[in-house]
Amino acid sequence: MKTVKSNYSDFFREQFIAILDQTDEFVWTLDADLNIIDYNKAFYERFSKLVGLEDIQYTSIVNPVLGNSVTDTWKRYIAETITAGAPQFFKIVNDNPQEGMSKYSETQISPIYNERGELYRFFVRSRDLSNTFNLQRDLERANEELLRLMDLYRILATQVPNFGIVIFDKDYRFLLCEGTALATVGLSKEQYEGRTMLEAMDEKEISILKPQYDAALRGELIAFEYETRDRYYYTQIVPIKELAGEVTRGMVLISDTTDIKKTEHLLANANKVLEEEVLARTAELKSTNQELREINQYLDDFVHAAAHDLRSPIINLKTILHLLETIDNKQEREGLIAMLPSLVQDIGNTLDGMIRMVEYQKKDQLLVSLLNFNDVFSNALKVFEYSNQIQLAEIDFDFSKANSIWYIAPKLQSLFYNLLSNALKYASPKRNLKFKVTSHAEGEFVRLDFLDNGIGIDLNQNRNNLFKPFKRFASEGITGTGLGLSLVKSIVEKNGGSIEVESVIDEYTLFKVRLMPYPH
Amino acid sequence: MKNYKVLFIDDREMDNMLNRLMVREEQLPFDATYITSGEEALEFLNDQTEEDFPQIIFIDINMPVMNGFDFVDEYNAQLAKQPKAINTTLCFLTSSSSDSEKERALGMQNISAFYNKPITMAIFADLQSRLNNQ
Repeated sequence: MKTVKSNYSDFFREQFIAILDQTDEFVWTLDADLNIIDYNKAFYERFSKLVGLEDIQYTSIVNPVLGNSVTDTWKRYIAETITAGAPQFFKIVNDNPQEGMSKYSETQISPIYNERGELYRFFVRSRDLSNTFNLQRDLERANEELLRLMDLYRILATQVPNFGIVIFDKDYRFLLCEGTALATVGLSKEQYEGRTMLEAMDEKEISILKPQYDAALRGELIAFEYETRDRYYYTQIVPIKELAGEVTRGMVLISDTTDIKKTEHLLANANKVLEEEVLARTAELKSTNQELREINQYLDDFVHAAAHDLRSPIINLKTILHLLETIDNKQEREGLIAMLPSLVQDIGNTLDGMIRMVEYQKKDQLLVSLLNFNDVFSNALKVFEYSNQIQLAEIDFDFSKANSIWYIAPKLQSLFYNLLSNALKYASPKRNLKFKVTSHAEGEFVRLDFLDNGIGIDLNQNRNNLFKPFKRFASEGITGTGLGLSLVKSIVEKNGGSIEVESVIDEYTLFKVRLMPYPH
Repeated sequence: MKNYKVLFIDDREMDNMLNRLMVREEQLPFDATYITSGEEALEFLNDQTEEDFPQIIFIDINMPVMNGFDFVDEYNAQLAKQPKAINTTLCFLTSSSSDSEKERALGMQNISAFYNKPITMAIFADLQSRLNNQ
């Protein structure tokens, strides 16, 4: 501060100005002609810069550098103060301030009179209000923005189905409470908006919600799920930050996830059902696969056996033809020729059997159906209709006690065919064949008894081999390789059935076949 | 030259008849016996003296109850080590053309050869060369 001459005592004046130097208000005095007399540091720094002078004492406040509008304003304020004869306040808004001038300021001008009552000085204090004013403006704008956002939130909350928004402030006051999801949790706009949590909620609700709101107000993001009144809600509480990064509000977003949960539940169930279905189908496929493998194995065995069965009569045919070339004896020639029909018959039978096996393999026939024993047995008989042996045989059947079964058609066909074929093969040469089939209900099983009066089986010797492939149990004009019984056993045991045999040599053979019906 | 003592084991009457005719027509030097089951053949062989014991035995494979393999097992157990069987040659005579059966047959003890039916001079010639080489 420059030392100036004045009427004040130097000491008092210096102390006074030293104090005024501490404030950021602008303080100065003018004489009656509006020249600057005393001033503090703040004023000096501002004014010397504005007017471009180092020494501003005795310079006029009405400086053309300041521009007409400023100097006119000062003249007007001084005139008003003189008129009033007392200190005056002026709020100054300078819409287009020069650099270094205040946009908003507050100025107090006090007239000072001497002992003679003459106007001697003006004491002026001025405060730059720009910062305060800007803050206020920003606050106003922020509020406007908030209101606009609130409107957006309202639209969002009402338009999005099963959704709700709550906004609360530091005092736990609900500023906004909107959305369809809120009604189901018991929140209503009318009841909550404008009220605080303490006013609007009961103790229990407060004890649950307040810690969550507090956490959001500390800046944490909260998300939780809860169930009430059979409905599910997903809730997020989001801190809302203000200008300086301070959290002043929180926003609660509530989604009613009941429908989603229900859909998820349905989907999960559907998935489970699907999984089970896949497992069941896989098991089914595996078992079908296994079945096909077994059938393939049988086909292999059969082809092997059938090849032998074909080869044997063909070799005999060739041998006969060879012998016919060299043998002249008429009787011997006729004997050889007489052998031919049975060899041809053997070949024919073997081929029939092969065709049946091939049909048996067809996959689409491996389906369970309700089979009538009469039909199946008639079909099996048809295969042998050209056989002399069967013309002479006494064939009898009685299926009255169990007339049908859920079974796989080609398997049951094969069973009847093989047991009938077996009876024909092992018929006694001493008498015509008697063959009887009867059915019996036996708990969950159906028992079929196949009884013949053939040559019988020595069970002491053959019981263990009876159902093995490639075993034949008699000689004397019997053809075939003995695959039949093993196939029957395999068919029956496949799904839990069984086969037993009783026999007395040269009297009878009785096969008791227990069939387990297939599930349908 | 003396005829060979030969045993045919085959379950089928027809095949035995054809063997008989083939032996005759091919003029094979055989004094042949024809038996229709393995059991009977074992019985027959057990009854034979050293002098009557067959020098060659032709065995069919595919027979009921006791098939050709079963017969050879029994023969090896009961007869092979008896002095009367020392000069006897066993072979299969079958309509089988299966490699696995042939392999199994030739793997058996005391089996010299595996022939396909019918019996012919060619078979005898082959067999004779084997006999001479022994």
